[in-house]
Amino acid sequence: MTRKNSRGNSALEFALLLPFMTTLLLGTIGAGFGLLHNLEVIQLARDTARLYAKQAQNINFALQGTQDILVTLAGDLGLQQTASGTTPNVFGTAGTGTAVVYVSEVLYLGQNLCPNGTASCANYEHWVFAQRIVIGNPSVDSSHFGSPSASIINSTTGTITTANYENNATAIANMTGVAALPTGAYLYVAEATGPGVSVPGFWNSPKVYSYAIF
Amino acid sequence: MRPSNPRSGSGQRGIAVVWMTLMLCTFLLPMVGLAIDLTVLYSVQSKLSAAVDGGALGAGRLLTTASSSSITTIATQFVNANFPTGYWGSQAPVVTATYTNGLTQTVQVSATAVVPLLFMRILGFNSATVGSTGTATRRASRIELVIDRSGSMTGVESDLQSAAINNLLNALNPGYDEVGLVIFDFSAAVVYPQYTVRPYNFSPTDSSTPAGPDVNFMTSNNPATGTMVNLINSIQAGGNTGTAEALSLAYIELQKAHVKDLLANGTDIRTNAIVLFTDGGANQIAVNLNQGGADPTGTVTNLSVIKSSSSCSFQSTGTFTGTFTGTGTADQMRGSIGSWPPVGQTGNGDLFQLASLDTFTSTGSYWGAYFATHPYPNSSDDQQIGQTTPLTGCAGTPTPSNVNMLSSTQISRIPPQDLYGNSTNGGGYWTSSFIDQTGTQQFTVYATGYNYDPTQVVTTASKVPGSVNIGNGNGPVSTQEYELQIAAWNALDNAAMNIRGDAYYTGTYYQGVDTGPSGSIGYVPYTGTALRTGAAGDAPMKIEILVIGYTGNGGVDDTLLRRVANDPSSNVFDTNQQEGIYVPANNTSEMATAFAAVASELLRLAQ
Repeated sequence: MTRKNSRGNSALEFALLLPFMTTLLLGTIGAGFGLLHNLEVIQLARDTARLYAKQAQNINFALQGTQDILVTLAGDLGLQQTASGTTPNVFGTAGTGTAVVYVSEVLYLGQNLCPNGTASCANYEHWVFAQRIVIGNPSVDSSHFGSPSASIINSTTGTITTANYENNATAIANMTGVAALPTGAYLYVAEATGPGVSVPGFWNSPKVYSYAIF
Repeated sequence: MRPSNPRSGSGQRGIAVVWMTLMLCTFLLPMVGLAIDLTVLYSVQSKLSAAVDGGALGAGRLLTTASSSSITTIATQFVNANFPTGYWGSQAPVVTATYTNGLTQTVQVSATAVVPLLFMRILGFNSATVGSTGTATRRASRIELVIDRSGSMTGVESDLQSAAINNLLNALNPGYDEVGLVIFDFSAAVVYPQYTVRPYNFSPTDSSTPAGPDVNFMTSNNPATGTMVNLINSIQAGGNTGTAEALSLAYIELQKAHVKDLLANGTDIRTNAIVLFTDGGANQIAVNLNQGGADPTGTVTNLSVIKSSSSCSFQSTGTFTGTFTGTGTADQMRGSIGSWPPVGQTGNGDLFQLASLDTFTSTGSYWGAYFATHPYPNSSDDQQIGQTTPLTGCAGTPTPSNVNMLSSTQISRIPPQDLYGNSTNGGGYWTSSFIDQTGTQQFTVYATGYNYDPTQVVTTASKVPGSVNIGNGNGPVSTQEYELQIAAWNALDNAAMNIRGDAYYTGTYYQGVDTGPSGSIGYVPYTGTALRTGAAGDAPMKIEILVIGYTGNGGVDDTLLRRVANDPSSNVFDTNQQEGIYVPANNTSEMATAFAAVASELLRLAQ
């Protein structure tokens, strides 16, 4: 009787504490995984931007081999190239994974590049894209800095011609969300978005995002 | 019987809850709190570290000659842009950057950020500071871009333009790195920093424009040239491939900037480099067309390329040694000779192409015209002799039967040096090996034991031993074509060696002189250090030649280009000379990668 009571009481106490403990445990685990993915995208964006800015030998994000490096770097984020795995993503060919990386060359069209102002450059005094390559699944996330029209992006190299970035309105990059950047040279931007971790009711982070500007 | 200890059950119950509460308060919650705080710190640290990376590499890449305070400014901008405002509630990072000058330029960036703590403040820790340090190094570059716009480039100009601009120019830092541009087909011309019509002062101490590569290549303040981007974008293809002259001009341009630095600072800390892009074999040589007189080696007494039976009134048959007077009666005509089609293509080649590199000021019009660019690097400005010629008898399109050309018995008239003093004969390069797009050897010219000798005309049969495959199965190659090809290959091979050896400095070779209408002309033995005087600290200049060979247009002479670059894979790799790289490319993507590889090799941007 006593033991039975005690056992019942223990179970009751456990039942009372269970929601709280579960919350704590799941929350911690969820936050942990969320953090893990958060750190992974920070690292992915950083590594991508570094490779991009260094323009190292044989590094060209329009090539399969370089994109493979990113797939490896992305770890368990689920970055995948196109379904066939043979054609590199450049633009518009969606990969099937759960992550996406955007690399973009941006440039500020100031007085030095457009001496005649808006007369020759419709995008005068704007940041513009000079290159855009998409690796992975673009439906996961769109670029937070803007999306140049597919029609002005070279489907093989991802480059945007001088005439287009000077005048095409979609080539304008929205850099207002970040602190002032040095103008006068090309900057290399990498953005990475990967899956967050969702613990329904406790932790809800459908995706994690990071960018790096080198 | 009731339990003797009634408190037992309730005690146990109470103890569990109390125990749990106690554990929660003293252990579990603080642990979770600590975990969360550490998580936040780790997250901020990671973001800051990425931002510092960006700051170091960015500041390194965009290094300017300005003071270190502006380097701190640039580094701070990069760090702040990479570190979102109030990331996890942290304060804006404090950034410091230090810069070390030298052959390898170093930028070190450090940043610290103060992060508020959520749970640890219970224990009195209100905030923590995270920090990160990053270092980037690079070399300061001086680059003379040498771009082939010969006829075979037709159709891939835009790919070349995009690759050169996106993968090389964009990697450089306007305002810091120095860039110049030489374009070539039949002949070559400097088009950046400024295109000038000849006469063109080749002296490296010449202070007139063009005065060597400069840092303003991305600004369009110069209406005569536009930016480097405009210039490269206006390249159109057409013509032969006079690679040796292009390299020589590039060398002269580099020297000007080198000497300028020496005069200003007493030192030159830049990496002097020539970046050559070509898509075929060299087949054109810049020469004095009707230069009389003996060459300095004493082997040839009449250097006139124009054959004696030519009706051109300015051909020279004697041993004329006078100077050009600029009155329209001059005996000197500088031009280029080459053959078409080149070895390996259908048809028999011939001595071909006669073009002036000079103006005839007395007539107010160009005599022949410029095969080189005028005023922009597009081929529509090319003209050939005869179109506006005041020279009696020199008219005629440059076909294989051109009256101005050498006959096959006058091959000895191929001068022993080109206009720039690069030897066209001797034990240089005579065995050619063309590699096509698939990496297959298209054909090989075997000429072991035979090389171009201006004093000796050998027959095709005796020149080519055994069952040698020349001309890609298109029949025997004519003697003069073969001789001329060897001369062009040799000129290029020797030009590269002379340049790497800084021949102007050491003064051991014959210099082609071209000082304009009132100056001297021809081959002059180089006798002293006059070309490089007045510069304190002058020493042999280290010049690196980097070559991109585009095989997508029928192949390049892979072996020759490796020699030109002094690539470690070259069959005559010389460890005493500056080592360069040769990067083959056979499609658009590889072209882009090749230019990126060159940029990477030049900048050595590292972190």
